[in-house]
Amino acid sequence: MQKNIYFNQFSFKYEGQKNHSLSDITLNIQEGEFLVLCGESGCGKSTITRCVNGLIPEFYEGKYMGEGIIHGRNIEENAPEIAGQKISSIFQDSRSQFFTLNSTNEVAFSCENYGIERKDMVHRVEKAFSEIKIEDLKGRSVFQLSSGERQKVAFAASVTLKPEVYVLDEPSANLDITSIIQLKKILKKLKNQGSTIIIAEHRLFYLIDLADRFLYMKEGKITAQYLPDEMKHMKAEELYKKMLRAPSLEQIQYIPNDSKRHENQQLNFRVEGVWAEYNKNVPVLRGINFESNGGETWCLIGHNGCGKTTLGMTVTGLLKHKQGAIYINRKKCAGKSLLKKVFFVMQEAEHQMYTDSVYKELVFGKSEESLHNKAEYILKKLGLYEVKDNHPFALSGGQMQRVTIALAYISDKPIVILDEPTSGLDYKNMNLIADVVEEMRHQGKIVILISHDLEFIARTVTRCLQIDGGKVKDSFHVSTHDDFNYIKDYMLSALSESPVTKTMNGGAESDGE
Amino acid sequence: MVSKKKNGFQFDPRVNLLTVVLTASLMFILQGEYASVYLFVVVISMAALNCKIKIGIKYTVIFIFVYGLSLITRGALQVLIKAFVLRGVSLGAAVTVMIHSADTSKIIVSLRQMKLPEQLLIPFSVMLRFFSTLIQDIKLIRFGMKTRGISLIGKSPVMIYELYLVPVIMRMVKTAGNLSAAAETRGISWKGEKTSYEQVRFRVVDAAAAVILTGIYTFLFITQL
Amino acid sequence: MRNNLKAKDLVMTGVLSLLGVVIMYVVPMPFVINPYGTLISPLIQALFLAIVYFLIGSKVPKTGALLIFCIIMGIAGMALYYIAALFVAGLVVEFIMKKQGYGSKRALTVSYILFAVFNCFAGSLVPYLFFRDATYMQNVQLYGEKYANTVKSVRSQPIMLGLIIAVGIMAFLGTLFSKRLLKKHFEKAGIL
Repeated sequence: MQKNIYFNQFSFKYEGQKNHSLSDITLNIQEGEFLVLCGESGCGKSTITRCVNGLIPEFYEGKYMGEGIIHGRNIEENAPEIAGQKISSIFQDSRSQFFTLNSTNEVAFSCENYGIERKDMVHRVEKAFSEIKIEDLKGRSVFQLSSGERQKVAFAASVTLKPEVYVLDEPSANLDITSIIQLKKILKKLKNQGSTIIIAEHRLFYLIDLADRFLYMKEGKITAQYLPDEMKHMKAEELYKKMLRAPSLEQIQYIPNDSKRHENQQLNFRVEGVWAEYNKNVPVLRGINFESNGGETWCLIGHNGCGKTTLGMTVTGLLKHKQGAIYINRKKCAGKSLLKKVFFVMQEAEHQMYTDSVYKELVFGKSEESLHNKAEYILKKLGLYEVKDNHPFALSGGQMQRVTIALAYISDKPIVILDEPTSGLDYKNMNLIADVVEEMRHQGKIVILISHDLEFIARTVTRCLQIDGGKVKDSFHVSTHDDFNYIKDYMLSALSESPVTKTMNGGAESDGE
Repeated sequence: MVSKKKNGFQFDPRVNLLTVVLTASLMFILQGEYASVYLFVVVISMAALNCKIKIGIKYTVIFIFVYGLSLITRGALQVLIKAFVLRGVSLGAAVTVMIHSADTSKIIVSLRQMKLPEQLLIPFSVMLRFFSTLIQDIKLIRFGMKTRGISLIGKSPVMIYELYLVPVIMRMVKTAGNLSAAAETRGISWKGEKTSYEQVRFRVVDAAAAVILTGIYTFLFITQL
Repeated sequence: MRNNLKAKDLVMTGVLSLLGVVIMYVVPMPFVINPYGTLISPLIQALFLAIVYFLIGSKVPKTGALLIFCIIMGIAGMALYYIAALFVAGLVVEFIMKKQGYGSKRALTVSYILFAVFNCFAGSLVPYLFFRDATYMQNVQLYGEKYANTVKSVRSQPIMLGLIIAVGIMAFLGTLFSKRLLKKHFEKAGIL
C-alpha cells in the first residue's frame, strides 16, 4: 500500500464560498515526514489537513479539482471513518473534540467505534495512557481537566489505533506555554516512532526543532518552502511581512513603551484583601491586593487555575467578592457600580454578541448618533469595516475576537479586562488588537490582560501582577528587557504548573468549560 | 455527576429509570386518598435499596411537610396540593435517585446493550455530554450581558428569550459541528458493531427488581379501577 | 447526496433536542406557581419550543430528525402515556414533512402546531382530567352528587377545547417568531 500523501494541482472550494480555499496545490508528503503548514488565517492550511483526514469532501462539502491520493486512496474514497483507521486527528479546541464525559472512555472511544474486542481495547487504553505518560489522568471527568490535559488525553485517544499519520490543526491555540512544551515532547516521541506528522500552525516556536520542512501558504497556494534553519534565521522584518509568529521565543523582544507619559492620575483603581470563589465554597482568591492608576496595561500571570479569570470577573462585578473591598477613585464599589466602570471581554466572543450586524452590535442599547463616529473609527482600525453589516456569527473566529475588542473600546468604561484576546490569532490580527490596547492605555484607561501570548504581552504590557495560590506574589513595572524576560522565564518554567490543576465543573479559568 | 465513586449497592440505571417512568405514569392516574402515599413508599424503598439514605431522608421530610399542608388547606389549593404537589414529591425523589446513581459512562452502554439504534444513542450521548456545558454557557452569556450593560428590565419575555437564544444556539451549533467532525475522524460512522469499554451487566437482582416494580405499579393501577 | 442521517445530523439533533428539553422545563417555571399551572405550561411551551423545532427541521431536513426530537421530548416527560403520545406525534410529523417536502416552512408550521397540540393533550389534559375527577370526589363529599355532576360537566369540554385552541394559537405565534428569528439571525449568519 502506498504510504505517502500526494496532491497534484488540487483545488478546492467550500460549498457556498466565492473563492477557492485551495488553488493548484501540488504536494507530496513522504512517510515519516514532519511537515508544518503555516500562513495567515484563512490561507488554506486547515483545509489541507481536512483533505488528508477525509473530512473533505464528505463532511465539509464543496467542489474539488485535480488529484488527491491518500495512502493509495482517491480523495473521494477517503471517507473520515476509513481514513481514521490509520490517520488520527487532533483539533484546536480540546473541549469540543471530547465526545464522552471521562478521560478513560474518551481514550477508548475510537476502539469502540471500530469494534475492537474488549480485552484488546483495555490493553490498548492502558498502553496509551502510559505512552503519553498521563496515568494520573485516568478516569477523570472532562470538566476537571485543564486544556493542556485535555489535549494530552486527545493524544492518548489517537494512539490507540496505532496510526501512521497524525494530522493536527492548530493544537496549541488554547494552550499555555508549559502545556505547549509538553505537547512538543509528545510530538517528538511520535516522530521518533516513524509516524508522519502534518501540522497546521501559527505558533511555530515549538516546532522548529521537530519539523523537516515548513510550507508557507497564502490565499490557497503554497508559495514557499523553508527548512528549519532558514526559518530560525529568518529576519524579523520578513517574518512580519509573512504575518508569522516568532519561530523562537528568544526572538520575542520587549518593545519599550512610554508609560510614564500616559499615567492618568485621575483614575485610581484599588483592590484590597479580596477573597472570591467561582464555585461555592471553593475560594480561589485569598486576599488580593493591588492598585493602579490610569494609563497602565497590566498583565496577570500565574499558572493555570490560580485565579486569573476569577479575579477578572470579580473586579468586573460579575462575581461577588467575599471579603475585602474594591475602590474606584476612592469610592467603594460592588456589583452594579463595578459593572458600570469595568468592561470584561470574555474568552469566547460568542458569549457576548446578540444582534444581527457588527455595526448594530457596537451601538446596541445606546443612542446611535453619539456613537456613530466612534463605531466607524474603531471598525476601520480593526479591519472590520468591510464586514460591518455582516451578522457577527458569520465572521471568522479572529474577526469575532476583534469585534469584542471593539465593544470594549466603544464602551467608554475606564477599566477594561481582556481574557485571552489573542488566542489562535495570526500575527496581523494580534497586532491590530495590540494597537487598540495601546490606544486605550493612551486614553488613560486601565487595561488588564489575561494572556499567555508572549508576543502580545511584549507589545503592550507596562505592569505585571503575578498571582500564586490565590494571593499576589509579585507586582512590578515592566519597562526594560529584563523585566520582560522575567515574565518570559516565569511562563516557561515547568514550576509554573501547579500540581493541582483542578478546575471544578464549570471552572472559570482559561481552560474551564 | 461523579464518575467513579463507591456507592454501595446500586441497581442498574435502567431499573431506576423504570422507577421514574412508572411513577410519572401513575402520578396523575392513580386515584384514591392514599395513592400518593403508596407511590411514595415504593419510591423511598427504591431509594433505600440504592443506598441513597440521605436523599431518602430529605424527601421523606418534604413529603411529611407537604402532606401536613394538604390536611390544613382547603378548597382548590388543597386539591392542588393533594393531587399534584404531593405526588410530585415522589417523582422528584425517583428522579433524584436516578441521577445520583447513574454512572454516566455506563448509561449509554446499557442502552446500546438493549439494542437501541445508533440514531437514538448518538443524540443521547450528546445530550448527556452537553448538559453541563449548556448550563455553563447560559451562565456566561448572562455575564456577557451584564458586562455590556444590557439590562433585562422592561423587556418582554420574548425579547429576553431572543437575547439568550441567539448566542446559545450559535454556541451549540458551532460546538456540534466541531464535535461531529472530530467524532467522524474517530470512526463514529464506521459500519459494523460497536464494542464497549465499560461492562454493564443486568443482574438477576436488577431483573427481579424490574419485575417486582412493574408488578407493584400494575397492582396499584388495577386495584384503583 | 445521501438522505439518511449522518453523525453530524444526529449530533445536531441531540444538541438542539437538549435545548428543547431545557426550554420545556425551565421556561414555564415562572408561570407554573399557581393552581392552573399545568394548564398554562403547554401554552408557554408551544410558544417557545417552536424555534428549536424549526432549527432541527431546517438544519437537518431529512427523514427521522424530527421523529428523534419528538421521542427525546417524550422521554423527557417521563410518563408512559406521554412518551407514547409524542412518539405518535413524531410519526405524524414525519408523515407531513415527507408529503410536503423536508425543510418547507409551511410544512414545519403545520406539523409544529400538531406537535404542540399533542404535547398539550398528553402533558396537561390527561392530568387535568384527573384533577377534575379529584375535585369531583371532593365536591361529592361536600355538596352532594347533583352539584358535583353539574360542575363536572360544565368544566370539562369547553375548557379542554379552549385550551387546545389556545395552544394552537400560541404555537402559530411561536412559528411566526421562529421564522423571523431564522431569517434575521440564523440564515444571515450562514448557520442554515
